[in-house]
Amino acid sequence: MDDIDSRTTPRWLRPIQLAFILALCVAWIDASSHALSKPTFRQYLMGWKMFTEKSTRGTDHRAEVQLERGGPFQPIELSAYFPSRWGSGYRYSRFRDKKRFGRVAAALCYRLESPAYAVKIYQVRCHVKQGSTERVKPSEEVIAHHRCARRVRGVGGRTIPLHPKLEAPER
Amino acid sequence: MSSDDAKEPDWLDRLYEPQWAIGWTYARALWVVAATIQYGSDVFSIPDVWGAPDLQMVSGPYYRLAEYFVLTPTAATLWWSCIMLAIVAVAIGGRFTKAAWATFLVLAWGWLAYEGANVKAHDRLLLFVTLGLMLGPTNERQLSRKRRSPFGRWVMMTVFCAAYGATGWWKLYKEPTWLTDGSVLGNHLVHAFHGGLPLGVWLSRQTWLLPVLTIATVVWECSFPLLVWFKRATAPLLVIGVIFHASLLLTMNVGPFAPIAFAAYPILLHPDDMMRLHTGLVGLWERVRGTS
Repeated sequence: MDDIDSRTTPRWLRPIQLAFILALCVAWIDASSHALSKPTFRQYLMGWKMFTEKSTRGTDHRAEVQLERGGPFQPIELSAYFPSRWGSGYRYSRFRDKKRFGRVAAALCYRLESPAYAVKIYQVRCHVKQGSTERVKPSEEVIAHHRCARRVRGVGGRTIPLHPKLEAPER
Repeated sequence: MSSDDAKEPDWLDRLYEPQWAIGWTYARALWVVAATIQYGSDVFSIPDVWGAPDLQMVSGPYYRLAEYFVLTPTAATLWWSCIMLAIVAVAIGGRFTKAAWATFLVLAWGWLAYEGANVKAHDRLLLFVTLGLMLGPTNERQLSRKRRSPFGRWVMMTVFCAAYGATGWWKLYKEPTWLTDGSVLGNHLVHAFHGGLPLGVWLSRQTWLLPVLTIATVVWECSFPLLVWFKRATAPLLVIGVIFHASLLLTMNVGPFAPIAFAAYPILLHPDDMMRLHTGLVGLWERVRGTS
């Protein structure tokens, strides 16, 4: 250990580094003190909330497709069409609002193997039961009922494309 | 960076006394593993997310790139490839390491901010750990013979004090069941998304054990920001941290949170202890090689 190379921060840089850490601490304290509030940018970036509150219910989604006008709605596996998962659930699982699910429904129409007349997406809420993955007292509501020929504006004002076979006659 | 003999307050010199730097080598290696786990499989989601022509799901209170442009599958694959190349450059190490980390930070944050739909705690933690690593001597080699400024370690400690402290103190303040019947953990273990793993479901039935685990969690999280600054407390704190994260890994779907946190642990461990651990590991390795 004779040839130890030992260096540290030059003196002129030390106040800047300490000020940086102080600023970081202030930002953390500020963000942390609002961590459970509706997120703004600071909490979103720097607020830590991990399993803090008790959760007694879970939310899932299911979908149905109506191939022809007046025909029956048949269940389909929604996650098969939007398979990407994050740490907790599917990408769409995070949302609860009808506007966003209108877009999911329009995208579902686009992704179906063959064109459909309409799709429905249900939001299913149920209680969790310790010791089991069984979902207790499920209740569901239609969060999106979309006719596949109708155009929907997506993010950034762009229009979500119709199913390729529905688009074709318009060209 | 240079030693300076000029006059200055003694406390600042003592504060900035150089520390063993070997922990940064281990942290870099663990970071490469964690970042690869985090981003490696995203390529399979490109058709569904980043390269999808039909659905962007913006969320979060900041600018979402998808509001301004849509990536084609080719562009998304190119973007992802650049993230992976930055990880490879970090793995190689040397003089371009910090540039690679800076590139990674920009590209990875953009990757998350494309939709911002579901930025998780482990996504953000990886970026903050990367920032901490950038501020350490990670672009140097032969760190087992070097002592360097403690500044990078302080940044990393600050990051983890905030992460563990904030979540622990909020549990203590906001949710009584963390200190009573443990049902808060029991419910999370069977939650539709982040729960449901077989060991977690079994654990949620052990009503005698849940309060022990929840109280231990809150005590550990709350005490971390206070104790991590004391040399003698750091090793026991981090051993509990390893057990804590490994247990979460086995019982809940929390993404690669554990490997990301572990990437910082060689820095959080006091540098003298890290040097001892390194010497022990090298000795063990040499004995194994000698006998084989």
